[in-house]
Amino acid sequence: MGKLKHTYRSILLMLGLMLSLPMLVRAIEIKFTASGPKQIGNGEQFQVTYTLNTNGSGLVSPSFPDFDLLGGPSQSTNMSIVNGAMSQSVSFTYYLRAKKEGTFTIKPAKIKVNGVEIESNNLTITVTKADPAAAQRRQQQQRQQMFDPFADPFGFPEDNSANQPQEKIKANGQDIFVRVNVDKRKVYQGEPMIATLKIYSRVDLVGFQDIKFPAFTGFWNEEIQSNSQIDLKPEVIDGVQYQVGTFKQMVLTPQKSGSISIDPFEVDAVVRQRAQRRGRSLFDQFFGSYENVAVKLKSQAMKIEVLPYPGTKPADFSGISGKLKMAVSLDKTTTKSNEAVNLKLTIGGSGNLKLLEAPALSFPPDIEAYDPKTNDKISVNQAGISGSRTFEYLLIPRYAGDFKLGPFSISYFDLEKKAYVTLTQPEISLHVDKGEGQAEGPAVSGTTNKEDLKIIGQDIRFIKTNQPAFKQHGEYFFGSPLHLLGLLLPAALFVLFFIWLNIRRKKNADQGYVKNNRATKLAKKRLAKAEKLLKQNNTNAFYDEIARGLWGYVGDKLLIEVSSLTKDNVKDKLLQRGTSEALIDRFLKVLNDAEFARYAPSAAGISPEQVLNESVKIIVDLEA
Amino acid sequence: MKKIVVSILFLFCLVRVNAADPGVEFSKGNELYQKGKYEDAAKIFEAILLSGNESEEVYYNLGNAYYKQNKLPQAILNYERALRLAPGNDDIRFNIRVTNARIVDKIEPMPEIFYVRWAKGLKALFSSDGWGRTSILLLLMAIAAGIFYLLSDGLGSVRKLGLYFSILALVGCLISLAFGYNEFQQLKEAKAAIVFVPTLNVKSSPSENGTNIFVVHEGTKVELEDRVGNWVKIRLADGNLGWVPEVDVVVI
Repeated sequence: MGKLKHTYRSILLMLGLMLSLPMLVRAIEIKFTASGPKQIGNGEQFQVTYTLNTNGSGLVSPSFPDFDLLGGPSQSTNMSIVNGAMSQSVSFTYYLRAKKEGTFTIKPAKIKVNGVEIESNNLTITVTKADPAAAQRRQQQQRQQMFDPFADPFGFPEDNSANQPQEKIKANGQDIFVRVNVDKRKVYQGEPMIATLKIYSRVDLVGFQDIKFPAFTGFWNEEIQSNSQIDLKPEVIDGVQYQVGTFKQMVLTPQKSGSISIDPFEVDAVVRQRAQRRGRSLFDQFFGSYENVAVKLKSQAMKIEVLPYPGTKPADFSGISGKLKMAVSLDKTTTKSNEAVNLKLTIGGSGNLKLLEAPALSFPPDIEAYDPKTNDKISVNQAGISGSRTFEYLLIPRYAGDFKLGPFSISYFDLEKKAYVTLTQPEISLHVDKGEGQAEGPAVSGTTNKEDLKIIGQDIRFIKTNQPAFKQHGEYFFGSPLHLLGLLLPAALFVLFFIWLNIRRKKNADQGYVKNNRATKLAKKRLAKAEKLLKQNNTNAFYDEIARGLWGYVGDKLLIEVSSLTKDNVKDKLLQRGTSEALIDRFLKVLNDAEFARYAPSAAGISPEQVLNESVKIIVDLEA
Repeated sequence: MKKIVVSILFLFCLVRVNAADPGVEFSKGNELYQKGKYEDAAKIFEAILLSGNESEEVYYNLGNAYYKQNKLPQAILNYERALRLAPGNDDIRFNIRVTNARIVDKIEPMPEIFYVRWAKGLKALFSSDGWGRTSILLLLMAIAAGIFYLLSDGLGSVRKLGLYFSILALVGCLISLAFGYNEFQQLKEAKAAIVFVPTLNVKSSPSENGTNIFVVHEGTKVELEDRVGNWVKIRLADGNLGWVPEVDVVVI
């Protein structure tokens, strides 16, 4: 019954809220609207609300030169889920009072949404002459809209105070409040502390809704107890008895130094109280009227001062504050190669052991070590965090020999001594006998980490000790005059050589042309002389002249030196020139005839006239 | 073969003898280095370089001295300077690799197409001066072969061989000049630098207001691409680009 009534009440509350703030939750486009009264009496208080239907930041408020700014902006965020789609709206409310009559315009406010600045609309407000009655009426209307728009449709004037049950119970005041209790306000980094979230009440608590626990940002936190059912126990505070319930108790370990704030803890407590107004239904009147009211409770934000670790941290600092002990054990001190041994490293004591990481141990390179297995025996309770954490390393020696493991050390911050304490354990010897499979050589263990380590372990090569060839800085051979000279001089010489070669060739070619030209002339001259000699009947000289004419002709024509003039040579050259073989034969025959007839004119069987004619013909043919 | 080439090319080399003998100083530095006095050795090597003399050995030994003092950015800087004078030197490349393994940034270089890789490998055979000498040698060979071709009338196929060889040598000469010019440009223009501050925020634009794009750490080699005011545009081996203040890097 009470619950039903409560639901009804919340619906009304919601409706009232929605009427007072024009929210456009379902609109998809971004809207930033200003709303306020159109008309107001001088001296009256009123609200101007800027509503954004999405998330925004960086509100730039307008100035209100024509009004007194009483308060604001007070920000409220509203989130609603309609048909599965979540929408969010933010509203900023300013509380203003009219101070003079007239019509005033309030300039738009600006806000950034996703980096884009958007503006609201202007507001025009007319301030009329002060009218106390109207002001009161308006205020009353406003309040009715807020809390109970449908109550009493018959317009029965009601007492204002009866409409506001909140006024009965002082939230966060004397009657009911919530608190975050911490056992210390000043801690060292890594020092566990206990936080307890409690409700104190002197009124009739029915239940809770909308519990918002603080986020405990900057702390590592672990719950000790979390109550779904909250038992109330009596407790006396400053002489007043309260019913006290614990929501949650947790261990907080600060992860950074400085001042860390714990956000307020918020809860809506549902309180039953006697209704002091007329019941709305017959039923209520009959049974006496109690009603359930939701009271918003909020604890105060608090700051925890976290002191940093003092001085320089040791290299093997574990990051734990508290008090620790260390024990190291090896399951056997004698083993065979390729057989595993277990190394146990146990660190116990008080402190946040859950944050303890495996210490970086370095084992001899011939022992393969695997990542440790972690076993916890850690209890978290009102006394803090204590217990032990065991790291179990699986080690496989790959070769026989005597090895030393350790020494082992870890350091922590001792909260009692306020100083770093280093725990050490001496070396443990491990004797490894030759086991089976040793002959097969080393097992391949190739993690990339090891490869990296190998390179880091390498050293640079030694310095150079030979005497260097120094040169001046900024002095380069490349592009220097010497370099250019080295390139251009041979090139120029080559060009000169080429030109010279060409000129010589041309000259030679010209000489050939001259000889060629001369050949015919000379041949004609000789033949003419031979004809003359024939007429004088000097046959011997005639044949001599014919032979010289012919030899001279081919010699000049074919550019053959006189010394190398032979018949074979002439034949080759003529063939190369492309002269037909028949012509060459004729030429050689005349030459033969001429020589033969010279020494035995009668036996030649050929007349000198024939030789002369044939010679002339052949020269003509060769010319052609 | 290379030795012969180098020794022939050496004839072209101009060696200037300075008044304060850097050779003596160099030996002194080496002695200190061998005694483990790396700081003093580094000072001596720096003094040699300050006097204007330079050689890859001095840069290399100075890099080693800095490496031993665990001054990795200085070590890398001097190794890189040595490498510019002797691009093909295996010891320098090895020490750069070892030092790079110890700096913070492990940058995967962008893979290069095989012929670019080959060309770079070939280019690294000589320094720019080496390529300059090679170009002259190849030109002389081309000319000799050309003269042989022109004069060897009537030798048939052997004569043709002379022509081919001449063309080949000429092409080689042009390639040498191209490589040499490329390296020469890199020597003269500041095209690469080493990061000298422990942590360097690389900005998207040349101003303090630029967005931080990524962070590089000391010892990382960067290519310089552009300069605006006191800011330089850098390119990492993996292709990332950004702007850093000029004072935070030292040009190789």
